[in-house]
Amino acid sequence: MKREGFLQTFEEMGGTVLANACGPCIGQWKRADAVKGRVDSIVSSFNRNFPGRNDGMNETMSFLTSPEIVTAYAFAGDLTFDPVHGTLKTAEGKELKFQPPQGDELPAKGFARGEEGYVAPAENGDAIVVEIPPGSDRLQLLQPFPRWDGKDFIKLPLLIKTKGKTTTDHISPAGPWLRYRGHLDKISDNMFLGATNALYPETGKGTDVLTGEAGLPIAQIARRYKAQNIGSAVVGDENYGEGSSREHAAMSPRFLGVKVVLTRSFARIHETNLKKQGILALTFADPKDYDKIEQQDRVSVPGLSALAPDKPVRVVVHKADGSEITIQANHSMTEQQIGWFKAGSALNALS
Amino acid sequence: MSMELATNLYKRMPEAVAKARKKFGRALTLTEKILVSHADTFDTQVWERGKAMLALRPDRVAMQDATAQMAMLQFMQAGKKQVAVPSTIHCDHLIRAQTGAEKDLLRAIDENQEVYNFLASSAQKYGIGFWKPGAGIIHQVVLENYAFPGGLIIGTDSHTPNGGGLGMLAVGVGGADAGEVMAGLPWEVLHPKLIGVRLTGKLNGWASSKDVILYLCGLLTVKGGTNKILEYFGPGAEAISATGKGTITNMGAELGATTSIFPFDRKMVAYLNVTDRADIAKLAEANRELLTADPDVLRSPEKHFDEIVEIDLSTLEPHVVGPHTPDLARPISKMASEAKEKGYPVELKAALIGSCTNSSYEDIGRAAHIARQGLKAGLKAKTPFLVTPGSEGSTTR
Repeated sequence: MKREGFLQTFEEMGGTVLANACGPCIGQWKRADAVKGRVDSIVSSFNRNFPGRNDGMNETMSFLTSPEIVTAYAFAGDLTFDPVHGTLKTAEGKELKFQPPQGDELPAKGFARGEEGYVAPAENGDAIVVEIPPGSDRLQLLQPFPRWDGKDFIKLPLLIKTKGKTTTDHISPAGPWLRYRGHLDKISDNMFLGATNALYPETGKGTDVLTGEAGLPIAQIARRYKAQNIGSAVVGDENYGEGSSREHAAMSPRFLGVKVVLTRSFARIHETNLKKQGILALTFADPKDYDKIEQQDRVSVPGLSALAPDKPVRVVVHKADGSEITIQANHSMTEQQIGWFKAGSALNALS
Repeated sequence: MSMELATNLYKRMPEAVAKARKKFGRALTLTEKILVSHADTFDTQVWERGKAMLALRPDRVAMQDATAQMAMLQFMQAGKKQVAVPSTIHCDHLIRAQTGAEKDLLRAIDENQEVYNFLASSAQKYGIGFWKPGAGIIHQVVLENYAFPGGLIIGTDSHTPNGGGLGMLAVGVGGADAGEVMAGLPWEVLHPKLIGVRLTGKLNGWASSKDVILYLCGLLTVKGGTNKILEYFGPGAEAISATGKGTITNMGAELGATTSIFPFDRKMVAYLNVTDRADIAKLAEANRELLTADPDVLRSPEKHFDEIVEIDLSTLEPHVVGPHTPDLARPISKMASEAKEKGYPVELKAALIGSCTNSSYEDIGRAAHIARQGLKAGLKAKTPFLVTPGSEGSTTR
């Protein structure tokens, strides 16, 4: 493009050329003139325009169209300009009607190509050490999750009972947490921060049932249980885990000791992600049983060594008054996926 | 870099395709030809659209720098010495636009040094190609270097389907999927349903490939493609450049589609030739039958697709979509009245071109043609105008 002078043309009209990267298209844009709360319009040739996508401002009205139309809009500065039918006033007071855009599909002279910026891997990588600085808050080597110890889950405390829409972004919020996406321990502090707890009025918070202390972030409660080597259970509503395939939404619960997630139904990808991380993903055979679960309940899943495809699982709920109720639950694990559960994760099963 | 992969694939495809035609008792779409040729085990696989889980063996894995972190950490957990599948890492997501190319790049390298060092060193160790910050946007680099007709690639980014412009199935996945495939596991995905998009006519005037997908966004909505693959066909398909096809398949992600694909044609040959891959172009031409749908699919598409959409490119108007969602679409001729009616602020605070979906030579050339007309008339941009080129290769053309 430099050869053709394209970029120079854009600079002549007052444009700024950015790095060969995603930049504003994924919100990596420090827009200098943006004012929080002010509604204004921008136009681009990008592919996404969700609120906040480009400049981080939820108010900004982002329109998408072709690059040639965007360029015409840049001259007009006005969303009501129609370059196909309308005209623009020039400095001499004349009317400019744009001719339809023309351009070659490919450069006639071919590309002046190179492999600039490419680094080939080592022939033999054995001696190479993967660089993770000690004490880094952005990267952390993963330790394999422990294998299933062969024991049934007995009287697990209830970590959270989510209510309504529980997307992966509610389970593992993005935003400032994305900085820590390479550091499982650190990012796990965001666990369930966006989720509605049916058993506590504040989003992302719940009750430590061992101490009775309420109003704590869910991750903090999970860390307390984990420190005492106590696993926990999560109960969820319909279509639990919809949204992006973000694996942190399954890895953080696993890392912080969640053993079983029992829901009215799962979003497919998240259900698989839970299985891959070695968490038992169950659904209520009767969705109404969801309503029976209370904060002080303890959850047992007996008979785990007899897990088999298409065979329902029995969940015993121990009530605070000493009574017990038995709930039928289903799983969708194949023979191979039961192997993942027993190995502790899909990756463990591989090595 | 993909000649060997293409050679091996085209060798094994005829058997898989013949087997599938027999098992299904009918002709095959292009999507099906690629799926059956990448099956982990064809015989035990259940082939039921919308129901069965497919276990597939992708040809390649591509990762961007944000999602690559967890993908690599998970891969390393498996304790393998080398990746099982050719893979690349592309540093494009962590660069924040602020003042311009050079300064933004230096700041990104400073802010993200430890992440880049980790990705570079792990790539070196495990046999992964590494594209440094500033080398380009993942989907452009993949299209220019790695994509080939008939291939199956997974990428840790939702706009991976950009590769469909070169006739391959390119699917966006999470980091865990990438980590597992690199470690040697098959990749699992719900057997998608198929939407056939029949294109007739030829784009003209202001209409561009972007308008094909913007129009479809309005028609099918952001949920219309969920668990579906869009397969384009018909005489109009061949009239669109390979990079234009890439724009369309890239934004298929906005429909929620698993991916989108165009059949192999002469426009792809031209693109492969100009990106120094005449060898792959020639090989693909010799295997054209494998890289396009069977004739019966074109004759009676209703027998082979779950849904069919028809678009006449000759009458397609330029479209504008938004705000806030890509399925709020209208032709540009209706924009002014709608803006007034709905009270959208009409003053534009910024205009931006480029990005992975629209930074091809053709896109930038057409935009520059408009820019030159304005400059000649003595006009300057009235609003901040930002340009994001797609790759280092495209800026040094």
